Amino acid sequence: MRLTRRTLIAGTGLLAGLGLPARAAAQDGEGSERRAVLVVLPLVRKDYVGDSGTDTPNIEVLRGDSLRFDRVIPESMPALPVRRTLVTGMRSYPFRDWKRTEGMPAVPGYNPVWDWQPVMMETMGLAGVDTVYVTDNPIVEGPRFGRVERPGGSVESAGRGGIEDEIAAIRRATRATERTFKAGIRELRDFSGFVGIDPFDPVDAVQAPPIYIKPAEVDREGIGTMNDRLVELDWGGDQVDDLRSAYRDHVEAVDEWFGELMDAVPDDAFLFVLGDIGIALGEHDYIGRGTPTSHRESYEIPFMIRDPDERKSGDDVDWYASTHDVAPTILSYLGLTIPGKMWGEDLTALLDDVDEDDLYDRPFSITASGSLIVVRDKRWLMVADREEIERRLYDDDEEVEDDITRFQDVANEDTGQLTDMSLAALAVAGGTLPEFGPDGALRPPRERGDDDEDDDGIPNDFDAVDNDEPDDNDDAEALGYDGRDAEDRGAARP
Amino acid sequence: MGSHRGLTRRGLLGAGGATAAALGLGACGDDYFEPATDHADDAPNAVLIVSDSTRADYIGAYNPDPRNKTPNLDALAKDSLMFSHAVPEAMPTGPARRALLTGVRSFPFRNYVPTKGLPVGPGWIPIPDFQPIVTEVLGEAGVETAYCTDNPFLIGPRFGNFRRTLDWARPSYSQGAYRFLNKPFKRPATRSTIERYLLPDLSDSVEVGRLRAMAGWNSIYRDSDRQYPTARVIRSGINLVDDLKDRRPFFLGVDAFDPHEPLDAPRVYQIAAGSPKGIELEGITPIQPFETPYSWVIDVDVDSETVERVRELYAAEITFLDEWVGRLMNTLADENLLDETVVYYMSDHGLTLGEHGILGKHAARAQWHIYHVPCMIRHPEGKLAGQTSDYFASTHDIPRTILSLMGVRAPGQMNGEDLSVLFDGGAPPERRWFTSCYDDHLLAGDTDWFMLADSEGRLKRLYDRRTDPQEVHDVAAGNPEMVDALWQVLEDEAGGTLPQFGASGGKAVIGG
Repeated sequence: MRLTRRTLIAGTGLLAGLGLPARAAAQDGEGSERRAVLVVLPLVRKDYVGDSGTDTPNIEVLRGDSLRFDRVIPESMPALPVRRTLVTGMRSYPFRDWKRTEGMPAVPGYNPVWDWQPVMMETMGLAGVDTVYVTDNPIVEGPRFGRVERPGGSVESAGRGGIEDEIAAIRRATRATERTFKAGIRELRDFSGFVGIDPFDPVDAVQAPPIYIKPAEVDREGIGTMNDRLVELDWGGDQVDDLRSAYRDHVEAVDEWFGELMDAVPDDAFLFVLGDIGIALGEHDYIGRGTPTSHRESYEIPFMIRDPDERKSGDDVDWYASTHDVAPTILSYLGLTIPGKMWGEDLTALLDDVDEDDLYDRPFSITASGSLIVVRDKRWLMVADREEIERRLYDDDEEVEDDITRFQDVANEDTGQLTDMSLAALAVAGGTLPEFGPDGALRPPRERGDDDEDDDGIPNDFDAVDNDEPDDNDDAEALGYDGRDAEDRGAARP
Repeated sequence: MGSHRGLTRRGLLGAGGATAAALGLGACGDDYFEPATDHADDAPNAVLIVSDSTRADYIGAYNPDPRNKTPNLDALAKDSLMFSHAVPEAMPTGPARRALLTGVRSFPFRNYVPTKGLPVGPGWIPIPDFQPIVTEVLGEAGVETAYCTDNPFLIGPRFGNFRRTLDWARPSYSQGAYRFLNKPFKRPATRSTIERYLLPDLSDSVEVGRLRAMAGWNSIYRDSDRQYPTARVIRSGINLVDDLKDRRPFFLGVDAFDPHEPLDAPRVYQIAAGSPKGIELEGITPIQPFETPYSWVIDVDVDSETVERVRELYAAEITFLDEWVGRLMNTLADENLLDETVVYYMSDHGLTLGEHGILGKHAARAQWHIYHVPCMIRHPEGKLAGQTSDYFASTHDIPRTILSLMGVRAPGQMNGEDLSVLFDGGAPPERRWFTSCYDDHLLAGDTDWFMLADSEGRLKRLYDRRTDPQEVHDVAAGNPEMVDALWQVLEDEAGGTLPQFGASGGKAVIGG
């Protein structure tokens, strides 16, 4: 029995030369010549890279050189929560920490990095590693984030009037890429430690992206109000063509700039390249970023690691890696101890020959956008609101070619999947999903129409104490909370 | 301080980290299996010693009181990095064990659902399916794993998924008061047999059955000190060392349920701890002075002399534990393992012995008697031997530290800190406050302040530890900003919101 198990893991060695476990390297980073670069490709969908209609030679070259992850969706959406996850290594899902923040949209997930969260750059800085982060993201600001370079983007007016505005948003992302990559190239000339190059459209910090959907679909899909992001819109095929053409231009422009950036990335640097979020381009009657669509390609992002020693170069992995794995992985590569609060996995294990099946089990890919959660595996995709009043389940079996069957909601059929996926979503959230009021995550949740007789905000069913008639045992006086009471009750002097 | 028996008699530990030349063990490979390469080539072994219900202030190294006769633990402390302010991240026994085994915070019990086979109350659940287990991770990294315990919950029906991860599982079914969970054997003693343990005010309580079960078990299975639960557990640990010494690197957990009540150390230790007083003079030895989990002192109607005797009986149990910890350490020394083994010692919570008018453990009285536990790590090279750290080390830090010192990657879900950085001259990420929970109560504080609140936040009690180290006088009314700050600390640590629990913990937590 033992023999078998040992035999299985024999050969998954991780200590060959460079594959030191995180703590084996110098804790203070001294003596380490290692350096790492993080590059974000804004709004790039995985299926558009290497697609026949899109010319992306530079990203494809990197893909050939990298360990790539084929089934990555960001663990929370849209663009702003993704950034919080990237720099903290903590899951932002399910936005339990959401508090309405001035200057940000009233949508769960839109808040700054809190003081109690770890920050990748701070951990590096404390260990004496130089860092610079190039971005226009306003939440990456303050002493904890190390040196931050602003490429100089400004908030441009953004409408939500339809396809034209969505095309304008895509173009803004293109421009953000251009200026951020240019600034990044300057930083890459001569650097040590860590450089992050993260194009960010500043509008994404002050406005949540709209979700366009055809009017007939709203009732049928039962997607609710979506924190006011929902816009009903009827569009024609020409408009979708325009949108896709604009998007293709964006991906190609990003690729072109990425090529120039890659010329500046030294060969001895560890390189982590990923998209931030996908975009729905009219598939399944949805348009927008971070939408609750049943179309899985709208979520998937490119996600690649290039190791300077070419370990696992060209390999691909199905394991459900996500954005919260980025910070732990980079820290581990630099030989730093990963703060315990970072939830992501250290993906350098894969470079050290650990098999993806031996990584810690992650049976589903789970993400949140606003008040919605999306749970996915290779076949099934569930979209639910967190009260689980609306749950949609799609049997997206790749073997089935008939689109009608593939994308019908089968939540009412007894597949067992709905339960499994809901439980997984709850487990990752720590046991419960928060509900949201106008100002933040609610404690506790209120079921709609619940009675609350003593008016303390806790529904009767879950209220241990009726405040109008407190139970004697729960009464402060009865429990002797006062010090003198305790003595009366026979407390002996220690 | 007490005299140094045990360890130091051999002068081995006193030498403070004999040269570490032996650390690179070529012995890693044996003829039984191909050496797995997942752990570091020079990975030291890990021995994790856990004792239940152990207050730090009853250990000589923490509190040099003449009552505390713990020469072996003191010697271990002298060779260890000692954490002066260790607080388990969640309590009591069940949740603390989960954190010790998974490295995942149980706080704030958001995933609680009432579970058959475990007590009803927030925090009492098995190890959830999606959480890692340290012995599983170690096993996959090629480390031989062993665990011996008499903890009724760990050997009970709900921790099977933990036991299955072990190469060597040595359960010991010897805990009288809790044997009903395990049912390997049942022959309760007669009522008259237990009269000498029974306080008059408990004569109608559930403790009657427990004491009868314990006395019945003892009459059959306990004919010498070696048959006491602690001795049984640590003896199996000592035997396991013999099995494991050729299968390095190994992990050995030795987890004793004592000094849990009943406080029945062998008679000779009880006598050594002090003289009969209070109710004992009337012929009743108060080894079970409360109805588990707690009684008010006033309700069991004992005088302060009897409370003093209860403390002595508790100290006697710790001395008995200490004696056996010494034997375990001597075995490691005899086998020349101390130079290549990291030894961890920690407890899961304390016990209130008359303070605040309580005997036992009560969530609403989870002051320092409950939350301040011993914690020490003995580095094989003697690094930081005899030093003290005031980091708020916790139960969930232990698994990551074990993995790290063995060169094994910790799963990301293990959200404790890697304390091994201390041995390299580094510091773990700042932990400004300690936070913990016990049933439906929450704890937060630092060296100056301590707040104890119920999870709904209706009653928040604040103690100024600088002027009131016993945490008796609630000063919440005068320091609202500190109360708010600590409540915010709890919410932040919980990820934004705190869960609420149904009445009496009989319902699953819903939301929050």
